[in-house]
Amino acid sequence: MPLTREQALAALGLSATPDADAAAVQRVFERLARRYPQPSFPERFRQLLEAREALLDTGRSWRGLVEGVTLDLTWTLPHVRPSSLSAPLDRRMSLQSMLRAGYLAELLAAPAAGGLEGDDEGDIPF
Amino acid sequence: MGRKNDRNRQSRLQRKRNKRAAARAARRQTTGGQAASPWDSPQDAATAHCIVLCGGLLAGCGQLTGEMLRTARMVHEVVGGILGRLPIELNAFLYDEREWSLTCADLGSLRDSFEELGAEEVFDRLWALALTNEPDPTAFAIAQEQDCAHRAALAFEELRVCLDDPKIKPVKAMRAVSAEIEKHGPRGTGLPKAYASLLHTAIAAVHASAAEMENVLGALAGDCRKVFDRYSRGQSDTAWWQCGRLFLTEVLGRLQRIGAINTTQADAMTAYADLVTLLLDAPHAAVLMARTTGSTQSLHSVHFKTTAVDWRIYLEREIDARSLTFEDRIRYEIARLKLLRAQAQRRTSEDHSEARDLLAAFEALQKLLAHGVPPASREIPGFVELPLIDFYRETIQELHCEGLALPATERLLGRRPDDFRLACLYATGAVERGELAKLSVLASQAPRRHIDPELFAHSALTWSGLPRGMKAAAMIRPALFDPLDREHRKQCLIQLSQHCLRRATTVAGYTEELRSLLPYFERDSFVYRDLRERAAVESSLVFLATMMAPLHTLKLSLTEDQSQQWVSYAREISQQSAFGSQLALHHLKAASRWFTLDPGIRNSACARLSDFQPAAAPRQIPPPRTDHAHNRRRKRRRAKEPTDSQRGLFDATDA
Repeated sequence: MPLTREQALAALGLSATPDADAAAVQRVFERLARRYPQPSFPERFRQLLEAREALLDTGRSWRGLVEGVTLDLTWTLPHVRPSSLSAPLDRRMSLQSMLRAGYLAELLAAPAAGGLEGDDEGDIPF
Repeated sequence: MGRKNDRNRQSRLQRKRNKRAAARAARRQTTGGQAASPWDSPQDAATAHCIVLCGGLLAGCGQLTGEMLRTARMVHEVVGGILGRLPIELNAFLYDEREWSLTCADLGSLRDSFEELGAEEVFDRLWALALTNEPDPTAFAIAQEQDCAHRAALAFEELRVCLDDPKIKPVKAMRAVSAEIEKHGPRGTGLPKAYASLLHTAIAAVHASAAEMENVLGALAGDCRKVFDRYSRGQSDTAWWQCGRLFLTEVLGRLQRIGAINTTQADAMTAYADLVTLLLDAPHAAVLMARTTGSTQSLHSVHFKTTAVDWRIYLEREIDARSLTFEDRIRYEIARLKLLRAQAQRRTSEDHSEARDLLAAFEALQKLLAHGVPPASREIPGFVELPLIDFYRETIQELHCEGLALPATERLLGRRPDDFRLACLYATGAVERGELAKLSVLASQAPRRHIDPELFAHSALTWSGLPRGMKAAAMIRPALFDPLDREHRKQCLIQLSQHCLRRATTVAGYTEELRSLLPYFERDSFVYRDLRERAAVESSLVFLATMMAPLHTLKLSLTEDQSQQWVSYAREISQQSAFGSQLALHHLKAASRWFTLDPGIRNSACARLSDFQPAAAPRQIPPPRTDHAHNRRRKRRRAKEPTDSQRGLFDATDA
């Protein structure tokens, strides 16, 4: 079972500094790993390793969220409405959707601010 | 309303305009030449504003946001009633997918106001929307003024009726669709026929028996792919195409509802995924696939560069950010920031509205991370702080909005006064806004962390090109450049020199560019000293020193080793750009009075001038890259070989 952050901090003796950054975690890990080398303290070493992974992985995933060239949007799924495919539209809504789609499509082709033409003097230049 | 194919309609509109012009002329005569203006009273002006806003919304001016939205609300208060509501209602209908609630009875009395201002076409569109709310279903069909969107909606609505009842033949509706295609589609192609075939397949799919159902989806996906691959690029900005897309989406929905999508069959799922991708925009398609398959794979690594606008609108519309947990809220804000950045990157205009939105989103996220972080999430601000500053630095540099971002940069710098990158952005912003007094902030603490020579070079050349730039450079130098260690100063000079080479196109222009280096490369520069003392100097700096020597009226005499370095660097830049070649040949063919190469090395280079020609396909000198991967690579290499005397001119950019 993966360690909680609190457990991982405790394993590294960092309970007093809960905001420890990645560099601090790594530093403490290296110090403890020298004190409890794997051949002599296999269990303790494993705990240190797990604690480090638990602390650094969380940070890595958050950093990846900002740095990544793609977006992980899996978290959105519980928050978005069911797709429009799942509900049939009545005539009124269908016509309105089509008019909306039609108007917006033509906006793509129309030059900005110049789609609706004006005519002679005194008119608002649509 | 870009397309004006209906000649009769245009003639009618023209007649109305002529009539109105005549009425105005008559009014002018009765008022002694004073023309009646729509701006005669505040009420008239506000009415005209409402109509202009509606016209703008239907003419491609985009969604009402910021200042425009405030104007719409203001005129709503002045005008009141239905007319005042119209722009806000239309904006919500078009961009927030709200229902259209106004009826013909609501709009009837407004026709004259629109006609008076020559906005009949705008009114006709609003009227068409109102007709959808009429209890009589024939009202929409028999309306007189029908534009392309109206006709297309009507035709596909009739086809939709055929989906409900297999006994109704779609002949009339098909004919109407074909007429629209012929009006807008490319002439002499098989589009009308191919599209009719697609529509027949779609209608047949909905009415297929259980036994036929297995093949239905594959056939529909195949037909759809053929038409979309060939014609969607040219037709997607027509009303008929978009109405057809909605019709086909409805068909897909019906197939799903009757259980024709078998999620356990690989073929069916492939066809389904194909249809979803073709018919829906990226966010809807990804969410639908995740829901249908029960796997979040489609949402795991979303490539958003080309679909950033769709995703941003989708997230803003679908997700109530205030109801999210703290962690999801941070995820939401980060996603929104990245989408806004991608959106801003694709803008070609000088308008900084995206940059403003992005800065507002960045500040909102900073506030979230600074205040009210729940105890269980207290480590998150620490995880994202540095990546967010990287993100901020790259974005501001990329969008060239240092001036606009100055307040935000100032706040960040206040929290991290030792951050060199923020100091560079701050200095550029202050110089851009002409607020040189602000530069004194930098003097109080020399920024020494996160030294970024590339950003320094970019910033230094930006402020050198601005009014009072050289004065600013002299003020900034003691705070940003002088406190750097020797290695970083070297890197800054190398980057500056590369920027000058990229920007110049002629030898004279290059000399002018080099003038912007004078505040950092002075007559008593350590580079000249090292050359004199025959200490190890990078090739690019040897070359730069010889180019700077005329500006300092200094004469340099290079040793054999230094000459060798000069020649090898000249060869390198020659092969990398046409201007590099021009510069090298210029100095090899005619000896400069400001520096002398070792005669043996010089003769040898002159005997092989062909080595100084640009490569067969000269690489376009790329602009400085700012992506994270690049920075990581650069940092690694710098750590590994900090004093590489043969560093290439474009190493930093071509890695």
